[in-house]
Formats: sequence, structure tokens, C-alpha cells
Amino acid sequence: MKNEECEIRNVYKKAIDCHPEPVEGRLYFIKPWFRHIRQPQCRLAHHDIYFNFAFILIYPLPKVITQFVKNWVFPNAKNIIQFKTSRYLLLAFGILTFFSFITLNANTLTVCETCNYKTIQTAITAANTNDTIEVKKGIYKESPILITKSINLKGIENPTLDGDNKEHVVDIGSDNVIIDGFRIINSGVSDIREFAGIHAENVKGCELKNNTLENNTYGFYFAKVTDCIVENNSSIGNAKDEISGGNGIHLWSSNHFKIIKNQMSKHRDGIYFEFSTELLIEENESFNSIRYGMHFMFASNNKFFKNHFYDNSTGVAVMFSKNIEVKYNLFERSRFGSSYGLLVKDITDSEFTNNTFQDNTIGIASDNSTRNKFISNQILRNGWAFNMMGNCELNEIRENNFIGNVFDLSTNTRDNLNIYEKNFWDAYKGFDLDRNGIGDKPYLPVRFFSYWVNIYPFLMVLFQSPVIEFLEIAERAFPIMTPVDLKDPYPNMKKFPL
Amino acid sequence: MRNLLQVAKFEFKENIRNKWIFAYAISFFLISSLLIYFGGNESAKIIASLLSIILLLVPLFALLFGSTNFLDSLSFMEVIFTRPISRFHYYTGKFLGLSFVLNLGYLLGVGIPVLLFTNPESKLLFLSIQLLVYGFLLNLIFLALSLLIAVLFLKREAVLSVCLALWFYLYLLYDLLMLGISVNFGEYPLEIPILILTCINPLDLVRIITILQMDNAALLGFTSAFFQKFLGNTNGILLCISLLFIWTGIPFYLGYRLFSKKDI
Repeated sequence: MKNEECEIRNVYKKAIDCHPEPVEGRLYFIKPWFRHIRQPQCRLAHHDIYFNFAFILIYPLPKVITQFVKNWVFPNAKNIIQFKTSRYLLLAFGILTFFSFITLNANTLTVCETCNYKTIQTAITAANTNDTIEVKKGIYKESPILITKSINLKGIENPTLDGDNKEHVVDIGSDNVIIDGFRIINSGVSDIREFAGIHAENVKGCELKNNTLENNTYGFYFAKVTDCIVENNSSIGNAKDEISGGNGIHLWSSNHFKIIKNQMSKHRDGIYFEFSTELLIEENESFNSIRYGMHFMFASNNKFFKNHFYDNSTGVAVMFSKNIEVKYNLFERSRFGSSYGLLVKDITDSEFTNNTFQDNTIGIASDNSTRNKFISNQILRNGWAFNMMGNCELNEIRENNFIGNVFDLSTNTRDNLNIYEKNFWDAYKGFDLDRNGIGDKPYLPVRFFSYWVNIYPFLMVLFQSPVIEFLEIAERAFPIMTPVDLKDPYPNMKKFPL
Repeated sequence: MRNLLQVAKFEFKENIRNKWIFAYAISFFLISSLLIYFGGNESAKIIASLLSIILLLVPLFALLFGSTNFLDSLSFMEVIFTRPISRFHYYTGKFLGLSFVLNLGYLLGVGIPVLLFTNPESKLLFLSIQLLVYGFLLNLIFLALSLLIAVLFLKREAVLSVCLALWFYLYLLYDLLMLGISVNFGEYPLEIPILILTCINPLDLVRIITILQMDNAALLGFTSAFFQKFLGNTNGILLCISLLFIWTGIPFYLGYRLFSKKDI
């Protein structure tokens, strides 16, 4: 078992290394063009390159102008030096304007116990737009910290912002705020308001990086925010039940987000989106959630890649959305009760490819969803690999590996409105006489017992009873009970490479 | 008491040389070694297949072995009851001696491969030891039942057919009936009745309690979680073992009552 696990993990890593397509170009963010100068780890984005092109175009302008003036305006002039100086003046002006963008950010205010500014709030009051406020190590109890200007709030050696269980810990009320490197703890708990570690409402463009959040009801709460980057944060919540608990990253009506490399645990939902579009969710980890590792409601046109969900009640619930790309994710150990690795409810036109579902009670549950594609997934060692409800239509289930599952497929109807093709089923007992790699007999994944268990769950008591085994053998000879419509006409003989 | 032990000792000596016991032990040994060898390191599969082998063979062999043995010793009984020996001592002694022989065969046949060839991975070892204990108790139960049946009918053909019928009923028919009940009355809340029905059949009881201990029980959804609540913990194991003891006690007592009144 260990070897297999290793293999899967390696594949998962490989999947991370070879990303299917560059995502940078698709989701467009307004970054300050000088960012690569200020933060050398950032590579040039498109707009930076545009600016550089513009600069190359502008650069020869002074020379052209002086040549023009020299040759056409004063063709007989003797004193060329004047023009030369004017040219250099222009150049100097150009360079100055160039660097003025950088120098705009040069002001740095420092906050610490012995500094001029003892609290962050006073520093914010004193700061100008685009100033940097450096906060040194210490504990700052000033709940809530209201950020009313576009500033760069930078924590040096992880200073702690303690909300003292009162309200939001940090409340962003301005565009283009950067918060980097803080430990944010103890937001308020309330039945009426959603108190969060970092709260932002009605703003544009923020960057929240490298923060560690603990014991907040909501970790990050965004309402009507656009163009944000949430990167490399971790949050340990305090959710005890579904009602009082909050979400790790909560987006309400917020668009154009990048949510990358965050770790969420012990929240109600690790990551939650409602009415939010154009999001990129990549390489996050969400675990020990009370309800869902990640939850989509009415959130169309999103992508999530290479995330890892484990030990949640349900890994990911995608509901009421369209056009979602789910690729290279790993859904593990969603166990007990009615737990799903992935719950797809009222979803259309989405793609679920190259994901791994393992050790879940139900690997994938699909309810009232149409025209989705489930391609090249690894569905390993689940109780029920795939639960396709009768109200799902025109889904394509193709080239998946179904290995080591107790039940391959369960459904609650005898009709089939979906397309199953070329999957590998480890329970397939057929043969391949013409050696084309495809089984000669179709595979009927819904067994008599799995059909009845889906209707009367307590029949589980008869699991592995000899009666069931005999009946399944009999069923192979006389396929009366099986819904014959539901079949994989071209089952693959070999498993697809992991 | 001395009589009882003497009878037990005699039965043990008499039956330890029985070729069927050898065949039983050796076939168990081969089957379980092969299962463990080919099962690789998938403990769940090994336990599941061991379980189904034990549930199949142990009751069948115990029923046939016990009843034939009892019938064979009928003529001997006529002789021995001329001696001052109580029927209780003879019956108990016979039961003890036979169960000792049977369980020796069983424990050597299954126990050696299980204990030697499995990884000392704690979960698997725990489950296999549990399986050994359940098999031991199943041996006792079906031996008691076989003696009861033998005393009841005393005729070879009748005894053997009743034994086979009982085995068939407990092994197959019972589950089939449960399936029928569930499918027909599925609209009613049947969880608890089904749970009670499961507890009544020792084979079902052993099967369900072993499966609930296995890793993939967590994968079986709400119902298994529900059963886990009742049977999946230490209390469940204790309940199971005590139910199995009751299952041994009642047929043994009934058999003894019949035996003490029967004219042999």
C-alpha cells in the first residue's frame, strides 16, 4: 500500500511541475509596473513589458527632437551646445519621471514600542498614499485596525495583531493595500456579524501575503472586492459546528482573485466563494474543515488547479455554477456519514480532469449536473467511486481509472443519460480477443447490491455476505437486476498510467 | 468432576488421531498461507478473505464432526453408563474434549500462518487475533449445536441432513431473508430491527463486527457509521463475544437437558 501511495504522490507532484497552460495571461491583474524593481522575486508581467516598450520608444525622442530643431528650425545656428543641453535636460526629465514612480514609495514609517509611532493606527493616520509602514516584532492590540489609505503594511519578524475577541482584526477600507508578514489572531465571535482576521469591503487591488492567522471566526473576508492576491497565508480557525463557525477565505461577490499556496484548517469551509467569478485557486491546502474543504456557490468561470483537500467532511462542493475547470487536484479522506471527495451539484459545462480521489466515502457525487466532463481522473479505494444521480444528463465519464473501490458506480435510476467510455474498471471480468486494448464485452458498473444499497442504505449490513456474492455471480449469468442502459461499452483493459 | 475430566481426556486422546482433524488443520493451513502470501500487503483483503473462509468452513466442519462423532460413540455410551457416571459429566466431558481437539486443529491451521506470516502491523495483528477468537467461539457454538442435533434425532441420516440444513440456513438463507425483508419493508425505519437480526445469527455477527473494525468500514457511509456507533468499539466487541457465549450456552444446555432425559 505504501508503494502505491508513494507513486500517487509522485504523480501528484509531477502534475504540479508540468502545469497544463500558463495562467498568467488569462487572468489579468493591475499590478504596479515597478513591482519587479521593488520586489525582485516578481518576474515582469505583461504590462511591465508594455511599459518598457513605451520607454524604449520615448527614449530616443529628445535626440529626434533636437535633430529636428537643429536641422529644420535653426538650420544656421552655431551654438549646438544649447541643443545638446536641452537634449540632456529632456533625457534627465525622462529619467526623473521614470524614477519618480519609485520614489513615490520611498517613505517608510516604522512602528514599534520605542519608535515614533507606537501604534499602527497612528502610523496610518500619518502616512501618505503608497507609504510603507514597517511593523516590528511585538503584540499590537488595536482592534480593529482601519486601513484608510493605499499603504504597504509590512511585518518584520512576524508581529502579532491581536483582535482581543472584539471585532475584525484588520479592516481594509482602501484600494491597493498590501499586508505582508503578520500573525493575526483572535477576531471577535458574533452571531450577527462576520468578524474576520482581515476584512475588506468595496475595495480594489490588495495583496495579502505570508500571514499566519489563528483563532479567527473568518480568516479572510472579502465582500465586493476585485483584483486581489491572497498568497502563502495559513489560517487555523476555531469552528466547532456548522452554525457558529466561519470560513477560512470567504469571497462574496468578489472577482479577479488569485488565491495561491494558502493553508486552511479547522474552519467551517476552508475556502468559500459566492457570486464570485474569474478566480484562480492554485496549490492551496485545506484540511480538517467542519463542512467543506472548498465551497462554490453561484461562482462561474473559475479555475482551480493542484489543490490538496484532505480530512474534511466533504472535500469540495461545487454548486450552482458554470464553466469551472478543476485539474490536478487531490481529494483525500473525506470520511464517515455522507461524505464526498467532490460534490457536484447543479453544475454545467465544467471540466474535471486529472484529479485524484482516494479513500473517500464517496469519491464523486453528481447531482442535477449536465454536460460536464470527467476525464483522466484517478478514483482509488473509495467506498463508492462515483455516485451519479438520475437527474444528471450528458456528462462524459471517460478514461478514468476505477481501482480498489468497494462500489464503482451507484445511481438511483434504471435509465442512463450519461456517457461512460473507455474507463479502466478493476472489477471488469471481460476479455480482449482482438487485442485492441478494449474489452470485448461492455462493463456494467452498477451491481445489483450497489443499486439496492443506494436505495436502502442499511442493507450495508449484508456487505461481504456470501449471499450477496452468490447473487452477484448469478447476476453475471442472468443480468436481470442491473440497469442495462448504464454500461461502459468500451472498457479499457489496462489501467491508465498513474 | 474427576469423571468429567477423564471423559474429556479420553475424547481428546481418541480424536486427536482423527484423520479429518488433520485434513481440517492442513487445509486451513494451506488456504490461509496462500491467502496471506497472495494477499500481499493489503491487510483489508487478507482479513476479508480469511473471514469468509472461516465463516464457510468452521461451522460446516464443526457440525459434521461433532454430530458424527456423537453418533459413533452411541454404542460406547451404552457401555459406559453402566458405570457410576452422571450424564452431565459425560456430556460436558465429551463437549470439552471435542472442542479441544477441534480448536487445536483450527488454531494451528489458521493461527500459525496468521501469526507467522503477517507483518506485525498492529491493526492487522489485532484483527487476526480477533478473528482467531471468533473462530474459536464459532467452533464452540457449532459443536454445541451439533451435539444438540445428534441427541435430538439420533439417526445418522436425519442428523446429517439437519446439520447441513442448519448450516445452509445460517450461512445463506438467513441473509437472503434479511435482504428480502429489507427490500420489501425498506420504506420503514429498519436500522434497528436489521441490527438485531444481525446479532441473532452468529455468522452475521462475526462478519459485521470484523468488517466494522476494518479500515474501509469508514468508506461505507452513513449506515456503517450507524453500526459503528453500536458495534465498532470495544463495547461492541465485548457485546459480540458475550452474544457468542450465549449462543454456545443455550444449545449446550438444551442438548444436555435432552441427553439427560433421552433413553439411549
